[in-house]
Amino acid sequence: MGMMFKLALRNVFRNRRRSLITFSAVMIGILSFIIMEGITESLQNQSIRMLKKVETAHLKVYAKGYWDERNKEPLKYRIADYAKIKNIIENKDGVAGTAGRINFQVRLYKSRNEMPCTGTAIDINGGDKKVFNLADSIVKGKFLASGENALLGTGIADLFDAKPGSWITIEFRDKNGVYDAIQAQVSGIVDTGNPVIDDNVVFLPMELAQERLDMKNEVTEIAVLLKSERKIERFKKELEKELNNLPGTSQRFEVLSWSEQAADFLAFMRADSQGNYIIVYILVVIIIAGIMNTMLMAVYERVREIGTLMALGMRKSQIKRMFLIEGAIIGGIGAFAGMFLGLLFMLQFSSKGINIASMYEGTNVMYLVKDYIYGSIRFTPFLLSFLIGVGVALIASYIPARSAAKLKPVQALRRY
Amino acid sequence: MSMIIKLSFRNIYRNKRRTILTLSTISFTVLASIVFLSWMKGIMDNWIDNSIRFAYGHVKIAHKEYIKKERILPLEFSVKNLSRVMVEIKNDKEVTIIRQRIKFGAQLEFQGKTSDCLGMAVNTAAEKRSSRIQKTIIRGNYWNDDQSGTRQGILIGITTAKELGVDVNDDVTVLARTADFSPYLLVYKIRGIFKTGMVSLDKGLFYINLADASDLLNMKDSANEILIMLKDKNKAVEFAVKIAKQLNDAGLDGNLKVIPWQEQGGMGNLIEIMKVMMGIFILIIGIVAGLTILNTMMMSVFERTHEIGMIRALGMKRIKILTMIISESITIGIIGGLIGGLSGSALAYFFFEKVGVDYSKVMESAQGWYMDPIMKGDFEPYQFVIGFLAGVFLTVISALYPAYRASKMKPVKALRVI
Amino acid sequence: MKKTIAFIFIAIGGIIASHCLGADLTAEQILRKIDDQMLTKTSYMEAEMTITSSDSNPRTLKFKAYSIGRNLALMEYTSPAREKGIKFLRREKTMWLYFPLADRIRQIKDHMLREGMMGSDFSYEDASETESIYDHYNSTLLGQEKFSSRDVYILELIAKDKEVTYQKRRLWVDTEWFVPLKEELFAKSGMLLKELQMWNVKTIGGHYYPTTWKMINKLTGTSSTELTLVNIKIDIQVDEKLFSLENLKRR
Repeated sequence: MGMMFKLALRNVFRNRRRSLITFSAVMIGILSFIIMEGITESLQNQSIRMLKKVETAHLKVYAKGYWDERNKEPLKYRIADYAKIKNIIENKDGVAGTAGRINFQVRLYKSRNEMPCTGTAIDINGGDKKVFNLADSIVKGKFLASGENALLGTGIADLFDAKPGSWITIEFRDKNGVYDAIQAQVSGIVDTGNPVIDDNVVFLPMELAQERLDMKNEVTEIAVLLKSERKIERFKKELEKELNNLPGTSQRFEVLSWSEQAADFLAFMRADSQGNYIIVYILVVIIIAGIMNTMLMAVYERVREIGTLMALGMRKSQIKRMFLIEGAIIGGIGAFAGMFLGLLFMLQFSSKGINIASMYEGTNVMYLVKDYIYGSIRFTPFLLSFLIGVGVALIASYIPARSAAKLKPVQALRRY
Repeated sequence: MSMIIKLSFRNIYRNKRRTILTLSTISFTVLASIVFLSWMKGIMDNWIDNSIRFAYGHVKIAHKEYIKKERILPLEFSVKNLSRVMVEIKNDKEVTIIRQRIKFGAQLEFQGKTSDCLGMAVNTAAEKRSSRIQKTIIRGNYWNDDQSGTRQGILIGITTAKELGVDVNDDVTVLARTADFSPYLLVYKIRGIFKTGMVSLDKGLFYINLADASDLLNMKDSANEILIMLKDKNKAVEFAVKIAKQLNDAGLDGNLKVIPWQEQGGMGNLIEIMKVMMGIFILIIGIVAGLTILNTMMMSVFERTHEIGMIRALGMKRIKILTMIISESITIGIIGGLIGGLSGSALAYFFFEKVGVDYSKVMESAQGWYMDPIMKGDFEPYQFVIGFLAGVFLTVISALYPAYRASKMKPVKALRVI
Repeated sequence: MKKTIAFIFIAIGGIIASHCLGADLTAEQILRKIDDQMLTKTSYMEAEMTITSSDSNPRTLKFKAYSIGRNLALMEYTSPAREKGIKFLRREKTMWLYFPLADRIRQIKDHMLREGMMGSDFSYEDASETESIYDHYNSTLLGQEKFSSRDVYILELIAKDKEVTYQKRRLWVDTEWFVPLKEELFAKSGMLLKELQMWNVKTIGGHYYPTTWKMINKLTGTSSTELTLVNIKIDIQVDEKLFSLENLKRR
């Protein structure tokens, strides 16, 4: 085997020009793959991270029946005994934090403008910051404080011409359907890159909302952040079972993981990335065709050599293996080169990032990213690249290797 | 000269295997490029076309507050003095169709079931010529040109029809909120059900003619959007600027905005991005393909080193060798280009354009996007030309270096090679 | 004998005087007296309603209305042409609208309740205030003042339960007529939502009745609705059958 390898290696280097060109093709193919995968992954990952950071957390606990009615009557299904339930969840193994929220329909008024929006009450004293990172998205003003203040999404702020310090009137119905209205001062403006939030949500302090909605110790959802993302599915099932079997309460709950909450968005992302990979498939086919081409020609070029080797006693299978290894070497070196350049790109991409703000200005952006996207260097795409590079080369070399093995020594030698 | 050509042909024919292999790389590249170009053109054109037809027009005129608050469909901010505005536009030579529309929120009710919908009040004749919604009607029919008065019924999407359990000729009540905030309710017959395959249209949308909508909403001589269709969609930007100034000069409402389609939904930007991405893809394919062809050409030249040495020894000039190899490559390029071009064109046309790929499962949640669920490519002859020429060009370029080296070979050395 | 008569006169005088001064009236009593004036066994009236808004031209609607107590109410719009024939029916807390052109009845529910009737500043909820709404409030008499050159009691009402739309109200009640000349309507938070003014008080069938009402939207500050009542008939014969869904459809 070792000799086979040495032979193969020597052969590769013997015709440097040809090997170089073949390996360049593989290199470019692999490099393109890494770059494209890196960008797509970054877009998708950042979107998901933003989603978890601001909207879905890892899991959310709702009163049973909430999810289906969430757009029509958000205050109908509430979680009572918030403090107690929150405690129960928080004390479970693997929980990093819990935070209750209340989502309800509001109408905003400011001077001549009025518009229906979604009010989201966040538990600023009870750990919203442990689960969500809304503060990162603040672009003007500051985060919420206790009392009558609100955070506006940037889309809403634009529409209403509101700035930190402006006063807005918020009208809503409390849990009993009784109308109420309050005035709140804008404490800050958030730009999360997610239009669902930026164009629709007004954030309020939990205490204020609970008081005005007549929801003492009640919330509409409890968001949960786990210490490790791996256990989400299992934790969800356990939690749901545990909560639905609590002594001393007849409340029933449903627990949704972030992927269930964001099902639509995930479906879209999957479809989008599928399209991007077509280019990779095309490249792979071209590379296979090219390598196969090259190797076949090499085989016929070396017919005499093969004949000699066979006459000297080398078996067919060994001949075949030798050519396969040659192919694998070229593929491997090409892959490594591609991976190396790919790594350089990813290093730059992960530290400096790429600014997509100007590209996406004013568009109906699908991904939830605003300005910069950053790559992350992961093992999988590189492993995949290597396997693809070598794999493709091997596939491409198979037929030529077989042809070489099929040669009859006499015929081969005769070719003079 | 003719001897060179004869020689090239003979060379090509002689080593069939080699030739076939080279040809296959070239043909496949050409095929892939043509399919790719036609596919991208098809889906992009489809997306642009549908967005223009159903949502943006080539140029849209609307009140600036309406545009800001479009999502709550405010009827208070409409284009008033509609007839005067129309006069300004109608006579422009660039204009083909003018589509006044009113978009409003309404609740449809049938036998106790309700559905909150978007009502689209249109000039039925203009809409027929521009949005082709009438082609998607599966039951019932569209308005005739003489049915532009009131009591002419509504068209609803198939998903809404299923939700309400209605069929053609059923009466549904439509409850709408008028511009002065009071409710008004009228009954309309379902005159037709349409199925476009696009969630954005089939669900939660109904069409009604302007007269009926004016009746329902108490909006005389106003609309909240005017979509203008032009002869040439690429002239939209300059047209918009021109009309904006014209309206201003005529003393009409200063609150009106005139927006070309490229500036709606950021389409212009998105298109630029996609073009850049496509260009990059093609470049990468070209480079990779080019490298493999280069390899092949090189090998085919050096395989014949001995032979070339012989010819040189026999007195053939360097330049002739060069020419011979180049003409060989041109020939291979042409043949490969033809094979790849014809098969690629056939594939692009007969499969990707005629049959298409069904993405309806994926598009189920694609609200706000106007793309036909069965995506089709758009094959145009120029794509064949581009693919073909690219194939020939790549092949020849790849042959330059080997040809040069071959011509430079010293006969003695060359002969020594076996 | 003389002493007894004198005492009786003084007593009667005192009672009359105290009644005139209303010195011993509690808030609840004042509220009852308002009900006495405004709450009628039956009524019929014709009205003209003008809606003024800063965004658009004023709109005027005309209608006629029947009521039995505060639980049954029927309104039929008579002008302008577009609204003519539209009817509004209320039975207790349930309300319907009838549209003649469509010949359909539609129950008013959910978010429609909050909207103003026919786009006015009187919401459907406002119109559905039932018998003795004051039962739902705890009231305090804050004092007396002069308002529009009339003497008024100022009352503050805080809601006892969730049944009422306005959790807090303030009334300026005329001391002679016991008609609230001005009413401020607040949200639970204390924010002023609407202001109702009533004037042109006339004597009709033994009641003092304000014939001009004005509701001002204080939340947005952009609109107000003025209602002028004419041809008011109180405690006449009104057929209960008028207030049925079947009757809505009858022309």
